[in-house]
Amino acid sequence: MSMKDTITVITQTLKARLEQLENKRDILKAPELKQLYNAMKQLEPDERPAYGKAINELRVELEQLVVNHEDQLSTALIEPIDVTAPFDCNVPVEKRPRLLTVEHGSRHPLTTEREIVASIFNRMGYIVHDSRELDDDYHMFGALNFPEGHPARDDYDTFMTDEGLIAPAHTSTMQNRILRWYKPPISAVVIGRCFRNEDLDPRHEHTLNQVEGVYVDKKVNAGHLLATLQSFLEAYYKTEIEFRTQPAYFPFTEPSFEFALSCPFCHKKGCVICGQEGWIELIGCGMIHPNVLQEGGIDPREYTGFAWGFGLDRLVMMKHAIEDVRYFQSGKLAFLKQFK
Amino acid sequence: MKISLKLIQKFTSVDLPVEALVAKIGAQLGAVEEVIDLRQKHYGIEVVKIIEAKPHPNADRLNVYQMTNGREEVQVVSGDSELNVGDKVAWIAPGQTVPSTKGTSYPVVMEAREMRGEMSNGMFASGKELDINDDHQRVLKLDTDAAPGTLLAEAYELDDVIIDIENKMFTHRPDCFGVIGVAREIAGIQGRPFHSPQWYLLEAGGLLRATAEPLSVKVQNEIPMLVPAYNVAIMRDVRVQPSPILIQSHLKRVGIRPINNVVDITNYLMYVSGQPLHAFDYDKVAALDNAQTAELIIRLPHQGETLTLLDGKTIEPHSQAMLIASRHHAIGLGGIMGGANSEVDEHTRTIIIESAHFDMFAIRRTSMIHGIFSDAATRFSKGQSREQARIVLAKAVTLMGEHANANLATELGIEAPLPAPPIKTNVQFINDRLGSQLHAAEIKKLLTNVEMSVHVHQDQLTITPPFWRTDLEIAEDIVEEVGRLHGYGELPHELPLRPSHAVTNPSIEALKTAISTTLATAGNNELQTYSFIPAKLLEKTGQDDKPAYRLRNALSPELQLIRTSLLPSLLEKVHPNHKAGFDDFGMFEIGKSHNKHDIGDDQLPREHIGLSYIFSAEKKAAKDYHGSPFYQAKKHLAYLLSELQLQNSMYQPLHSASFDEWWLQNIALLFEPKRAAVIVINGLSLGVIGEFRQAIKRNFKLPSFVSGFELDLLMLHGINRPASAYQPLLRFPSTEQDICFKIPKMITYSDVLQLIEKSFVDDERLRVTITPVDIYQRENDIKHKQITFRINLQHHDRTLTTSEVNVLIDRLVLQAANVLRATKV
Repeated sequence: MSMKDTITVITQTLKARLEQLENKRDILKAPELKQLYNAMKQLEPDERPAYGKAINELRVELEQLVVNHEDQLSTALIEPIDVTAPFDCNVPVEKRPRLLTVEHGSRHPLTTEREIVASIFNRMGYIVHDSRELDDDYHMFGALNFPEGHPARDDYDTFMTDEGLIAPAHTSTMQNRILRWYKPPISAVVIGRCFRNEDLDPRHEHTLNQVEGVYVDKKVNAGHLLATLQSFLEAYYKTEIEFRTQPAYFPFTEPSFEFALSCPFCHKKGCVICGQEGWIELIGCGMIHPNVLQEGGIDPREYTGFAWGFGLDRLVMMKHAIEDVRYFQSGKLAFLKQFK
Repeated sequence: MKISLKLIQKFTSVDLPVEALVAKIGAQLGAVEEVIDLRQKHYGIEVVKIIEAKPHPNADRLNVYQMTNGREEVQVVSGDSELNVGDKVAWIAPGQTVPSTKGTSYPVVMEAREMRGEMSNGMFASGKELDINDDHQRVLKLDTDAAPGTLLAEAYELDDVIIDIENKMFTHRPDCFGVIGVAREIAGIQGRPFHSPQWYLLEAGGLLRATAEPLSVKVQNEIPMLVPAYNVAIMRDVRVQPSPILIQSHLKRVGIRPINNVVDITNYLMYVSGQPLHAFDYDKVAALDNAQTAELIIRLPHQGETLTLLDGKTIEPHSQAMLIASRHHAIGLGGIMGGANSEVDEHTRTIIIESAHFDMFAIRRTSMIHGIFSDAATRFSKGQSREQARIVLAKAVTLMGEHANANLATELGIEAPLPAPPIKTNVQFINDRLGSQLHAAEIKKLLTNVEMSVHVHQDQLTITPPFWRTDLEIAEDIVEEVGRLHGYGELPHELPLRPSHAVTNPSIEALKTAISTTLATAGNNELQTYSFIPAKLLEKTGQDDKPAYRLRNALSPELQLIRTSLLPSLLEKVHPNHKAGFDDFGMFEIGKSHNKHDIGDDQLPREHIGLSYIFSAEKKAAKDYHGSPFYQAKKHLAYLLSELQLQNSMYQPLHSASFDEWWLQNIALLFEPKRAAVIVINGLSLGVIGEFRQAIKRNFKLPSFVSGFELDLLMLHGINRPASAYQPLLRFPSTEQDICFKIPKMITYSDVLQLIEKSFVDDERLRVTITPVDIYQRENDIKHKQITFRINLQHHDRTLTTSEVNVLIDRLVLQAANVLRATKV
């Protein structure tokens, strides 16, 4: 009889025996299993891997059967309960369900910061929206003046589903909707989760949160943009800040800038948070490209606007000097319970 | 894009110190990634002349040379035996450091030492030691006229600074992938006019006459849509040899490897102008077809065709790749890389220089598909000017003549470049968008400095971009140029003015805040977890992975699926936190899930906003809780719902519930049906609460005291909630009574509660407060249970008398007996 046949026969034997056994777990100690393992030594070396695999599979299968049986048993023992009751039968008052004490509780630092940022923009007259986590190519690229196949798309490493849906790399994926939902004057902020296809390390996450702003009215200019960002940052950091700009390229704004603020932690003296630079590059921004306005149903001859985007996670990391961005999504209570 | 300051200075003057220039580039051109200062790299190294050469008396492989640096004669021993009297070489004197080792962990410092009895004072340097080329076999013979004693850095412009500007900034600036383009911008931001070199403008066009016996090449372009311009020049009598050292050193310092004069000239011109060129060996191309004359066909690949590229890799070009081919064989991947079969080498006598224009989208696609990101592909994919292809070809012909002895074997007519279509705008348009108050003359100067042609008529501006500015199309593009060249930092900035409407955020935002705050107040911890989950996770929960959206470019299998519910992610966080020393906790997450069954009106996946919650207590802590853990999760949910003013929640046992919604079925799979319930409010099934199935508890290593829930916040949000649950204070005293019912076991708590509530509704002036006191089951009577309620009665209009209360209670007891077969104990 070939080894394969032996295994088949033993499998059938053991399964039959399992039915009879009172303590199902005993099947895992069956002498036949031990014999099968011992027989390995007599095989030619090149036969061993396939044989080893076959008996391991058998063992795993038996184990699964035992575990399933145990689950069935323990499930059968479970008494139904009255789900409409507030507590179980015969439970003394002091052992009944209760809330935890307030000092145990914590809110996620990104939730708290989102509310702080939202509240400042609310006070400045901006409505706050959530973003989408799964969107189409049109909203992520097409509506934002990224032609199909354009090299500018290379700078956005997006995740894509089999169907071609996109896990957006920026909250600008909502910009076209904002333009269509509201009539100018528009002032809106989108705060939401977005995704970048990059490897994880203490400074890089594939999942991040972005704050996107959109402002459209007649006679809006780049100076308005800069003053708006400065005003927000001064309210956020509760201190005066200076800023400087750097030209940048984004297909959906023209002109485009990178906005850097004087470090609010050291006032340009240089510190750990600003990497001794005295300046923090924080915000990509610019005047909304006329094609984007047009696509949003707004006449670019009549209206102009500005838009910006910055990372919420980075604000929180700087504020608390958090050393590893991955903690945010880690679910570690040791991290989370520090934020009330 | 690495730029050499020395090369920039060939095209425009720079009078700022390097730091100030770098700051200005950062503020007005693009982010500077790195500044590499080479000014000290070749410090002290001199050009010297050999005046005597003889073999080493005691060593076969060494030679003893006398040289002069103009001030003294010095003896140097070298392994290179081919240096002759009169040759000029670079001398690294004792005490000086070998340039290529500067800044590394092992800098090599020269010394004077005896080598087999002959003194060697320092060394003669190879190209590699000088970081000028990659040759480390031989001493570099210098091709300079400089007198002995001249500093090498001076002779070859080596005291350079390399400024690396982020490529991303130039995504829409093909011209800035050439030094001329960057130099023009540097002139512009310094406020000074730039003049392109004469050869680049070629305003009048030109005709290059053949200087050798004519040689034909037939060019057949089958794909003019993808390759709108394909220009070639044939040159004979080529002498392939190393390039002049100046060219080699310029290429090397910006990261391009010097190869030979022909290849170096094409690379140098690409680096200067942004226009990639390629040189084929004419005879190799002809030989491929066994022909006398070469033929070029620009076409799409044939089925199954392969091509070996210059880097040695063999590819099967994708169906839309632009191939350069001889009659029968592919010889290059157009615009990306040449083929190995037509490579120029030291035997090459005749060359075909190609200067073409390829469609930028097609280049990018091919480059992405084959993963080839060559310098040429980078440039073509930004959309180089079609006009400059001919101009740069003409310059290549000139340089090949000067440095490779080549003679033109075809007549080459070069038309003058066409300017881009003019853009009309006006001063107000520009100032409106920048918030500036620039005058027409100022705007004109800023733009003409970078060689735009500007026509001003009162307030109207007509701007004709030069041929290389393929990015300038609309008036907003001009706004950007003016803002940048003027300096954004100079713009006035003030807050916009507008009517002060009160804004109201979408109300789901407030609901999320209320939930997070309420649950945290009840001692729970808010988590956030990834939207991406591994398929393995759904195996552990027993949920179907097919309705989950799958990422085709996931970072790892751990992040492959988009989650279809929130609880699995939370389940994973229970065990690690117990292990980390947290004995009991409640954790929750507000997040999104997606599935293929729920598509919104916009044809996009409907975004489920959900709340997931788990309470877990490990053995030791679980001693403080008795009974089914189900009630612990329920306690927190009930608290949350009451804080949200949601009064009418109902719990329907999961084993008797049925529902069609896939998302609800998907969540229900996690729970043990005997210990779970569907949460129903106003007839809407919002989610499921309960204990988890045994298999899940085992798979996630959960302790036995664990329970949780998940519910849909958008549905919850849709339910009308009273703004306030305030009840006016009543003047009359209340009266309170405990009443205990013995009921058959299958009668539920809520059956009794509802009956009690109903029995008092006929008097709407009566305020009834019912509190559970105890639920009890005798050990010897498992068919019944006893529930004690505390009933507090208070009337709006009067003090209730004992007999009044007794009537009410008696009526209640009677109803309970009739409807529920309950007996008062």
